[in-house]
Amino acid sequence: MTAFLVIFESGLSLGAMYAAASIALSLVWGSIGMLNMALGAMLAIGGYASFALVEYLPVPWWLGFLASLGVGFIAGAVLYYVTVKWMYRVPTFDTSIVIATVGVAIVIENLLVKIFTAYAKKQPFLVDDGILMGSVTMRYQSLINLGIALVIMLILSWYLNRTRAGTAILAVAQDRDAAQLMGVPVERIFLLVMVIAGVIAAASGVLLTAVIPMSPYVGHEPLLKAFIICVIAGLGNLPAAFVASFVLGWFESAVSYGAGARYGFPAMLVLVIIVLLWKPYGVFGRRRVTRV
Amino acid sequence: MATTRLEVDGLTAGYHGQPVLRDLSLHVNDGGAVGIIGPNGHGKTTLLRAISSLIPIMGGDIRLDGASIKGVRADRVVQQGVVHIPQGDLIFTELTVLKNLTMGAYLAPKSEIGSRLKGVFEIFPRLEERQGQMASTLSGGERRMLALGRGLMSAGRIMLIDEPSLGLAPIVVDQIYDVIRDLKAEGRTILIVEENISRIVDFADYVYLVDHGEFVWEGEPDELMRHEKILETYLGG
Repeated sequence: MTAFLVIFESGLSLGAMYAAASIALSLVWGSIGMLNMALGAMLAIGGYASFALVEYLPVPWWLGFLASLGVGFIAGAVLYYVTVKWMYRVPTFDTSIVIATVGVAIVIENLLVKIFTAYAKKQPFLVDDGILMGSVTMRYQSLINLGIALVIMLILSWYLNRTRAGTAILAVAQDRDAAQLMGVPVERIFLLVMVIAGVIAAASGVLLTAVIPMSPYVGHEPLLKAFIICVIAGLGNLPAAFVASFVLGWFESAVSYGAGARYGFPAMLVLVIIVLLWKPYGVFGRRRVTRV
Repeated sequence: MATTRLEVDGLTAGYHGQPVLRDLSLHVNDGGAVGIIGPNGHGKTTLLRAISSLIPIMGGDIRLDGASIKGVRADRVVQQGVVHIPQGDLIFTELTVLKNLTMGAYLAPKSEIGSRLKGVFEIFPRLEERQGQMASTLSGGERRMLALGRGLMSAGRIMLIDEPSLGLAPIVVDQIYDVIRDLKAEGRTILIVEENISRIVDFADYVYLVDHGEFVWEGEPDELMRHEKILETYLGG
């Protein structure tokens, strides 16, 4: 029973950490067809923005969190203007944008090193206590992370399904030409998607660095894991990405508990290979047809 | 004298720098119905895509009510009143029928959407019955109705309709053409691309025959039916 509770708590905590990042990655992929390799750097921007405001100004943690969302908004817009706007019409967009966003990530991370140094920092508002479940403590911070990830998912689902701009995002994701023929300004929709993803990435960065030490490279592992989660869920499928974050969190925790922490990540990679052999478009993914 | 709604003047356009259309000129009068016919793969769809700015223009000009729309972004062309109902429908299969229709009125004020929906449902009662269904569950004929209904939601100045009979059973084609004929009777301006010549001669006021990206004949439909050589050479008799 204790083993189950340990795995459950640890998996929930990991899932909550990765869920927001996975949603941001999946949203951009699904709408723009873009693998955003700068997502990790955008997580770091969110974490550092909150850290700087709470530590140096100082402002209350919640204000730091909200301000970091604003910084994420700007980061998303800047990433759009620096890369997507100039590249989305290029026939090799799929691959070019990966290289371009890797470049942007390198620039951002080096700027963060320059400003904050490469030494690990600690987000100043970790909630240490938790609820005791038998011999295992469910940390409040994990529950907060879970709650915020859930709220992000619900707000995004509402926005996509209940608003005109949200429906336009779904329409562009399904068929860019058809959406344009409805009068949808595709470039503006791409900008909208990038700023939403920027805001979610910033929130994810704050949640993440409330649990693990913060460095300019803190987003590397979450980016990789979010990518694995999205591939398994089916790239572009937001609810599936959310659920898969927790399933994979529990999977990683179970492997780490049973075989040792160093086997958690390799086991996820093996799982990706198995899933891709079984279902090349992910468990809940659909075949994506590109018109040329 | 009828005013010219759409004027294509010496248009050259294509894909990846390779021209598919060469020096095409046509005009569509206000309230008129013009048909483009020709063999498959000779540029009919490309012509409509060029008018809608979905592909760049390499030469010539396109004017709507006298104003050039050359180089104008596709969504702005729609804003100026061009409704394009594309070949293969291009409906949003993962949205409901209702959402597909409301996307057609993306540029319309919210207050007008209800009345436009009512109008579309009067023409296509089947769409009203299926409004909550995902578009992916519709039959081929229903999809074509949805594509037409979505076009009607935008209430534009000219409708570009690409192969409305493609891949449909004759009885469904009859229903679709009944609607298109009604639209013409209402005074809508229509530019229609069609491979099925019998449909066009019944409907269009004027016809252009395209072959290898060039217009090789133009005239009234009756005249076309008397040109046995043209019918045999280009349209298989």
